[in-house]
Parts: sequence; C-alpha cells; structure tokens
Amino acid sequence: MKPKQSSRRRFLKSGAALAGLAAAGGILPASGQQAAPPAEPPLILPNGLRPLGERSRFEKLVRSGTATNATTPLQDLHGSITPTDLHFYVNHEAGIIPDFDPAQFRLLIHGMVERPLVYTVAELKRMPAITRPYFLECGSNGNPERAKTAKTLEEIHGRTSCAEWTGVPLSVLLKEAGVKDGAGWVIAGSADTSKHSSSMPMEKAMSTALVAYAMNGEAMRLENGYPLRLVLPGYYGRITVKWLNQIKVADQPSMSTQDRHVHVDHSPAGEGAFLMTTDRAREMQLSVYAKSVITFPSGGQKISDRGYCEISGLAWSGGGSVKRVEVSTDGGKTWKDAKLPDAIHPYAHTRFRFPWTWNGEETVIMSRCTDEKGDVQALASEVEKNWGADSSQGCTEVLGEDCSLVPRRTNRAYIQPWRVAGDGTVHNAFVMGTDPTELHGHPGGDGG
Amino acid sequence: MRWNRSWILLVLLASVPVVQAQRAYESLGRSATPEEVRSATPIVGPSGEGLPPGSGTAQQGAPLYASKCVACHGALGEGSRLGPRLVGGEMHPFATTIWNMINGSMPRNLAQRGRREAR
Repeated sequence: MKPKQSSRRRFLKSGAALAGLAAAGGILPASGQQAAPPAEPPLILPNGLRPLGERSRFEKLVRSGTATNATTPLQDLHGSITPTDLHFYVNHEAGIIPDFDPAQFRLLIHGMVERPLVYTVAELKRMPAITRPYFLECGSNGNPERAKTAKTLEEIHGRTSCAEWTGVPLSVLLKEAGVKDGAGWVIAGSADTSKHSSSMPMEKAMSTALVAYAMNGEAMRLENGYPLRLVLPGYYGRITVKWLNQIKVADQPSMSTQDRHVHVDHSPAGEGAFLMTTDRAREMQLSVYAKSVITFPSGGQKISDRGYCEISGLAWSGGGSVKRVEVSTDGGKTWKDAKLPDAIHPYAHTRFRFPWTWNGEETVIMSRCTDEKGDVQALASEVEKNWGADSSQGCTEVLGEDCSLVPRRTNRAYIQPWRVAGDGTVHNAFVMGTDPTELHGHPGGDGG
Repeated sequence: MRWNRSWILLVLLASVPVVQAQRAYESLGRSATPEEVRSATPIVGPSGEGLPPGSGTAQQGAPLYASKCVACHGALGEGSRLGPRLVGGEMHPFATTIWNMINGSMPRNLAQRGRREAR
C-alpha cells in the first residue's frame, strides 16, 4: 500500500470514528450543547383536575431564613414581580404568624375623626379599589453588618420583593370617617402577637396609602398579613402594617417600639437629650432611597465561559420611578447606561439589562440607580465620608436641620459591587471603608 | 297655586343640602361603638395619652420583674445571652416605648403571654 493512500484511509477511518462518537454524544462541540437529542421524558399521567399549579421537579426555588424572617432568592428570579410564595417576610419582636378567620376580622378607624367606623373584609372588597405593583423592603435590608460577611445577593438584599397589590385607598376610608382639623398623623395598628403599630404623616395616608386585601390577584399569604395589610408605596416595610386592624387618626406620631427609630434623634448633647425629627429628616427616614442590585451575575453564581454575558438586575426607589440605571464593569471607573426594556412603574422593582462581553479577566461590576427626583445611589465609601466607618452606629446619628448629610442608618441603598474572578465565580465585593475602584486587581479575598 | 313667600321658602329649604356630610359609601362599614373604640389595642401618644388606666410604683413592680423578666434580662437589668441590657440603654428613650414593648411583646415566651398555638 502506498503511504498516501494509507494516510487517506486512516484519515477517513478516524473521521468516521469521530462521527460515530459525536452521534453517541461522546464529544461536546465548542458550544457546550449535547449533539444527541434527549430521550423522551417521563409523563405525568392524568388523574383528575390539577387544582393548583405545580412546579417542575427541576425547579427548586425557596425562601431562606427562619420562622419570623425570610428572604427572597432574587438572584434566581426573572422579570420584576416576585412570585407570591417567594415574597420575603419579616416579623418584629419574634412575632408569630396569626391565622385569622377573615369573617371575624375587623378594621377599626377612630381617633380624631367625625365618625369612628368598623369594616369587615367583605365590605372592604366592595369599596372602590385600585391595583398597582409596589415593592416592599425591610429597613434592615442591605445592612452593612450583613453585607460585610454575606456571600449571595439573597443574604445581603433578600428582604425586598415586589408584588401587585389590590386594595382600597386609605384616603377613601379616612374621608368616610371624616378627618378632623388639626389631625396630622395616622397610626396603623396590627392584630399580630407583638401589637405592632407604626405612624405615618397624614400626607402619605391621604395620597398613596393602600389598605390591601389581595396580592398578585388573590388574597395575600398568611406570612404577608392575611387578610388585610397596609401598603405605603416607597416606605420602609416596618410601617406597612400587616394584619391591619386599626387606623388611629392623631395629631402626633405615637412613640411605639418601632416608631422610635424615626421620630427621635439622639442629640449629641448626651443621653436624655432627644430631638423630635424635622419633617424633612423624617421623610428621609421613612422613604427608601434610590437603589439597585445586579442579580446576575451575583455572589455565589458563576459565569460559565468568556464571551457574551448579559448583566441583569433590579432597581427601585421610594422617590417614585426609576429614571436611569448605569452599570460599571471596571470597578467603578467608568459607567454606561443599562437598558430599561420593560414598563416602568413608580415604587416598583424595575428590571435593567446590560449587554456585556466578559474577557475572562478578574473585574468588579456594579450598578447605580437614579430616580425621578434625581436621587443617585451612593457608594458606601461616600456615605462614610460623613459618618465614619463604624457601621454599628445605630440610633446615634443626628440628621441635621438641612439634612445635608446622607443619613447612614436609613441608607441601606449602598451600591453593591460584585467581583468576577478569573474562573468566572462571582463574589461579594462590599467592603466598608474601601472604595470599590481599589478592589479591582486585588487577588483573592471575598470582601467578607 | 299662587307662589307666595311661604311656598318659596319651603322650596328653598328643601333644596339646601343636609349640613352633616353623608358618607359616600353609606351601606359599607358601620359606626364603631364606644366599647369597640375603648377595647382597641392602645396606641399611646408620646406623653401617655391613650394609655389604659393604671398606675404603680417601682416597689410594686419589683416582684413582677423578678417573676417575668429576670430570667432573660438579669436581676439588675444587665442582660444575658437571652435578652439585652435594659439599664443604661438607648433603645427605649421614652416611658411609652417601654410600655409598648412590654405590652406587645414581653415576656417573649409564648406560654407566659397566655397565647395558644394553633398548629
């Protein structure tokens, strides 16, 4: 046999062998996909009506946390509405979830009103109603103490969700009761085990406050306040009272366990010298700041390979609508606008998307939100310039008459940086006292 | 019929709206009774308005503290691994916040607060 022929024959033989291997799925082409089609899946045999939808056994999303505090797996969700049974919940003072009979439940409206009123849930469902997507967020969400040591987006920022809420505007009920002159405050009371209550300015009560009975189209879950809760668009979760059974109209905020954070500043003059918060400072304490987080790729996840990788995330603000989201893929040195491809609703989680090509090198990525009022999400290092690096300072900051200093305690809206390592794994890069632009190029270290 | 003054006055009176405003959704919700308002969970103002009737002294409170609070907060309010320090803290700067905290949530043990578990 001549050498040329034998080499050609060997080539043809080996080529056939390769083809055979590929047909059997033994070789993976560069795209990473299996060449062979999948075997037929097992079938779920019909056995009568399926009254409630069932997740595929391959979908394993759940909340994490405890009986009284649980977080949403934001990093694994799409769109901007949180699935009902993955919505976060937080109960203060280890509050235990009550199991109310809606037929027995009552909402009392009293205090500085012309006529105190009592409503059943059935009556409230017949009152004029609206439906809106609104986010809720716990005031402790994004707490720097947690951010310093946690690994995933859910661990750091999972105490926020966005659902579509249906209910009666509180203003309609207050007008029915007839608010008396001089009444500037409304205090919402809960039927929960901790007798939680929280105060809001009359302006909020008469504008966007909602007495909600439905969440994503049906009665809310037990954990989220069944059968009635208050939704205050843009306000911190503590004041959106669950198991709402009382609305008291007053001329001062109540000094309840949970209200003390908001209505009192600790004066630097010393213990015992307390100041009542100014209106503007109080509004900053009550309202969530412009905030955004990258949900993919985020801490604990992995970019499978170099090349196109769309960065995706959520933005929201207590100031109303998200106006703009910017993304940096070089540790904060440069910023580019992300796309906001979906409908933008005020006081709702808003999905942003950013086309990116990862070159395989280590870098730090982060997002920055600007809301319709012009509030811009800040780096933790910027906030520290005003307050110092000790994030354990809880109640002791003074906001100042002109509120020129961004209050530390209420601003959990720090920019959240993620470090993408060379192997594609993503790590929490939040470090107090460090400008993220200094993190780029630091080998190793999770930042926590 | 002649339109004399008394008829004109009657017609005018009949068209004057009732002084007390009617509710827009009269058939939904009803007036709360004084008892319902009185028995609502107290929401207490900063200087104590809204507190239920009552009073006490530190001497009267001491045995209550010993039986309900010491286990978690310590004999001198110094705290333990079960409960935070009470004396010299800044979490509850007003008497009303202390009252609200105790009334709503303390002692944390469910049985001691006379609650029943459903399931």
